Amino acid sequence: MSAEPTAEQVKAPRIRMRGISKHYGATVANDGVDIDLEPGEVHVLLGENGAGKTTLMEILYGFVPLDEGEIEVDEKTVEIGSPHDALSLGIGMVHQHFMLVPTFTVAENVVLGAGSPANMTLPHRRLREEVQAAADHYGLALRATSRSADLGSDGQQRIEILRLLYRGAKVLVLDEPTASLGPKQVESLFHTLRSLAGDGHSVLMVTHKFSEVLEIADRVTVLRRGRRVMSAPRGEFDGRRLAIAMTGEEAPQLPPKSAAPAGAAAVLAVEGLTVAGRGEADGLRDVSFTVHEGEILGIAGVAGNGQQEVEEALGGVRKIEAGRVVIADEDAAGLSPRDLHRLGVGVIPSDRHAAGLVLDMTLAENLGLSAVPQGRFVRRGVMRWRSLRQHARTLLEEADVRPSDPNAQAYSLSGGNQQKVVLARELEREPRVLIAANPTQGLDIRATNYVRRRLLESREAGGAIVLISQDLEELMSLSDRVAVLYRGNIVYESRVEDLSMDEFAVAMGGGRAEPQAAA
Amino acid sequence: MLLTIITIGIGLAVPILWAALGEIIAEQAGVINIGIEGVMLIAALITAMVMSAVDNFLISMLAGLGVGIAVGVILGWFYVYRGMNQIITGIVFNIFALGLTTALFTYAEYLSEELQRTLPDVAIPLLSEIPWVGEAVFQQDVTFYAAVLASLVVFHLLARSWFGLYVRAAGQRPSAVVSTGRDVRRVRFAAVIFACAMAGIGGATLVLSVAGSFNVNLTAGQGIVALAVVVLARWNPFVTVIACIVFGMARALQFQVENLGVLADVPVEVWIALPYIVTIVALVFARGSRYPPALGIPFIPPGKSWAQLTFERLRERFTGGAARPPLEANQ
Repeated sequence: MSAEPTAEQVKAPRIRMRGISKHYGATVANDGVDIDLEPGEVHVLLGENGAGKTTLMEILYGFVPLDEGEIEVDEKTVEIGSPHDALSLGIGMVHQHFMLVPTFTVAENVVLGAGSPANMTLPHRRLREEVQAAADHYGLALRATSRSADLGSDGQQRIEILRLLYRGAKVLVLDEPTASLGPKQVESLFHTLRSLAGDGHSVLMVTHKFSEVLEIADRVTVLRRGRRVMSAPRGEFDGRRLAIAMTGEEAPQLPPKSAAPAGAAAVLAVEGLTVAGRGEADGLRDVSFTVHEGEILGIAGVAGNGQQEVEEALGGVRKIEAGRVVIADEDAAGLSPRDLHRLGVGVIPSDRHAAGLVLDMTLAENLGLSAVPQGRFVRRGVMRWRSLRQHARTLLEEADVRPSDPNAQAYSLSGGNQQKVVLARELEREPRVLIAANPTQGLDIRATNYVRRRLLESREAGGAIVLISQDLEELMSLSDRVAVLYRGNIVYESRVEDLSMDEFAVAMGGGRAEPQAAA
Repeated sequence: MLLTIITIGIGLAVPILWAALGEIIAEQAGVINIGIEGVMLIAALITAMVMSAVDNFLISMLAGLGVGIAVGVILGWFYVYRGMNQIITGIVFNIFALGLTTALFTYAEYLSEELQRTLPDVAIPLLSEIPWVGEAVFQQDVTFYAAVLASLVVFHLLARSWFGLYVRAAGQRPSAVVSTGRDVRRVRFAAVIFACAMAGIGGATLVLSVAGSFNVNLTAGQGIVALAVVVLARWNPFVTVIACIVFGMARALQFQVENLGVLADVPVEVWIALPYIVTIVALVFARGSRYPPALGIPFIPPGKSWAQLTFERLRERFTGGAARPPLEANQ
C-alpha cells in the first residue's frame, strides 16, 4: 500500500491493483503485489510456476477472493466477487484450458453468458448474425455456424477472445495463451493482440516464457514467489535480466551434447503404426520412425495431433490397430506394459498425476511399482518393505527429491519433485527405450533443467529416447532428429542440424512440407 | 385387438412420459435424478389423499405438482448445493419414499379402494373421427394431450431458450458457464426442481388417470423406466413420447392375455415382466448413447481454487478429517 503514484504517471491506468495479498493456509500465493494496466498496452506477467501469476489473475477475474489489497478500475475502487462482476466491469479472461462447450456452435459459445438464464426465448438467427459480424469486425477467422469441437486450438482460442469482445470487455487477460499453439498460430495470435491493443483494449498476458516477453510486451511485470520483483517498460529489459528476475539466479546451463554416434544400431523401429482415434481425435495413421542407440527423436506438433496416441501405443496402454513395433529385434506390438518393461521400455507419461504416480501412495511404493511385479523386494510372496524403503531412499537422495522421505505421500510433493520420482523409477533400470512425453511441462526452470540433463545422460548411456514435447526450445536443444505430427501423420522429419525452421513451422500447421524421409 | 393395446398403452405411458420429459432437462443440466421414482410415489399418495378428500381433479393434480416442487427443492439442495453423490442419494431417497408412503398408507388404507371417479376421456373433435388412429390417439384423457404439449415445451426450453443454452452447457462443460459469469448451481437447481415437478405430475397422473387408487409401491419401478427411456430417446423429447408409448404397449399386453391366441398360455408373470425386459434389451442396444459429459458430477464452484482444495486435502490427511472433495470435479 506504500506505492504512491509518481508525477510522471499522468495517464490514468485502466486497472490498478495495489498491495494484493493472498494466502492459502501457510502458503503465500501473492504478497503485496502491485500492477497497473493501461489502455492500449500489452502487459506481460512473467513468472515461474507457483510464482503467483495465476492467483493474481484469478483475483482480478473474481475466481478467488483477495485477503488484502485493493483493485481500482477506471480510478474507482471495486470489489470483484465473481466472473460476473469482472465481466460487467469490462474484464475478461481466456483460460489456459479453454472454457468452451465442445458440442456448441461458435455462435452459441460466444453468446454463452450474455443472456439471462431466466429468459425463455433465444433468437438463434439474430445472435448468429451478431456473432459473425463481430468476428469479421475484429478480423477473427471464425464461422458462427461451425461446431466448436471441429476447430483446432487456435480456433477455439479465437472463440474465447471473441466471446469477451462480444461482451464488451476492454481488458483481456490471457493465461498462457501460447501453450497449445504452433509457431504460426502464435504469430497470428500476437498479431490479433497487437491490433486489439491498437484499438485501445488492454491486454494482460500471463506466461513463463521470456522469449514471448521480448516479442510482444509493451511492459513486463515479473513475479517471484508471490512478490513483484521487477516491472519495466519495453526497452528496459532483456532476456538475461528477465531470467534472473524470474529465478533469482543465472539460468542453469545444460551440458554440451556430444555428436550423435554414427552407424548406431536401431533399437526402436515403428512401421505403419495405426491407432484408432478416440472421440474427436484422429488417432494415428501409418506412422513410421526409427530410433537408434544413443539417439533422441523429438516428436513435435500442436497438442492433440497424435502425441498421446504415440505415447500410449508405445507404452502398451492403447490398442494398436495395425503396424509393427520392433524393440531390439523383438516384436513388441500389442505387448502389455509389464512385458514392455521387461523388454527395457521406460515411460515418463505426460499426465504424471494419472499415469506416472499413484498420488495416494508413498514414494517408496511408487518407486516399487514396476520393480515389485518383476519380483524385486518380494520374498515368497511377502513384501520386503524395509529393503524397498532403503532402496527408495537411495534413489530419492540421488535425485535430490525434497523431501527424500520414502514414506512421504506422492501428492504432497511439488510437481518438479514428483517428476523427479517418476524419472528415478524409470531411469533406474537404464531403459533401452525411453518414451518421455512432455517431461518438463509445468516444471520450474531448475526442475526442467534437471529433467533435461537426465535425458541427455540416458542418451549418453546408449538409450534410445522418444521425446514428445510441446516445447520447441526443448526439442531443438535435446533432439538429434525431430518429426512433426499432424492429424496422426508424420508430415516432416529432419535432423536438427539440417532443419528448416520455415518448413518445420508450416508442417506444424498442417502444410505438408516435403515427403517424409525414408526411415 | 391391436387397437385396444395401443389405446391402453398410450394411457399407461402418460405417467412415465411426464417423468421422462422432466428428467431430460435435469440430465441435460448434468444431474441424474434417480429419486424420480420416489418423487412419483410420494406425489401419487398425496394426490390420492387430496382426491379422496375434495374430489376435484385440478386441486389433486396441483397437489401432486406441489409435492414434486417441494421434494425437488430438497433433492436439488442435496444434489447441487451439497454436492452429494447423485446415484446414492437418489437410491436412498427412493427407499425412504417407499418406506414413508407405505407407513402413511397404513393410516389410509381406504385409498386402495377405487376413487369415485378418474379422469374422463376427451374425444378431440374431428381428429377422433379418423378411423383407427382417431380412436387410439385422440380419445385419451387430458393428461395425455397435456404431456404431448409438454414435450413441445421441453423442446423449446432446451433448443430455443437461454435457459436451455445454460442447461446444456451445465451438462457439457459447467466450468464454461462459470467463466462466462453465470451460476451453474442455480441452473442445475432450477433443472432439478423442474424435473421433480414433472415427476410429481406423473405421480398424480398415475392415480387420477391410470390406477384410480393408491397402493403400496404403486409406481413399481416406473420412475426407473423413465430414466431408461430418456437414455433410449437420447434426450430428445419427441422420441421420448414414442418410446414411452412403446413401453406402455408392452405393459398393456398383460391385460389382453386372453386375446393373444396361441400366446395365451404364456404365464401372466411373463407379460408383467415384459416391459422391464423390453427396457433392458433396449438399453443394451443404446450403448452408444452420448451421455452429457458432466452428468452425475457435482460442481464445485470457484472461490475455492485448486490450490485451496489441495491445501484442505493435506490438512484433512494430517488431521484425519472427513472425506475430501473430488479434485477433478470441475473438469
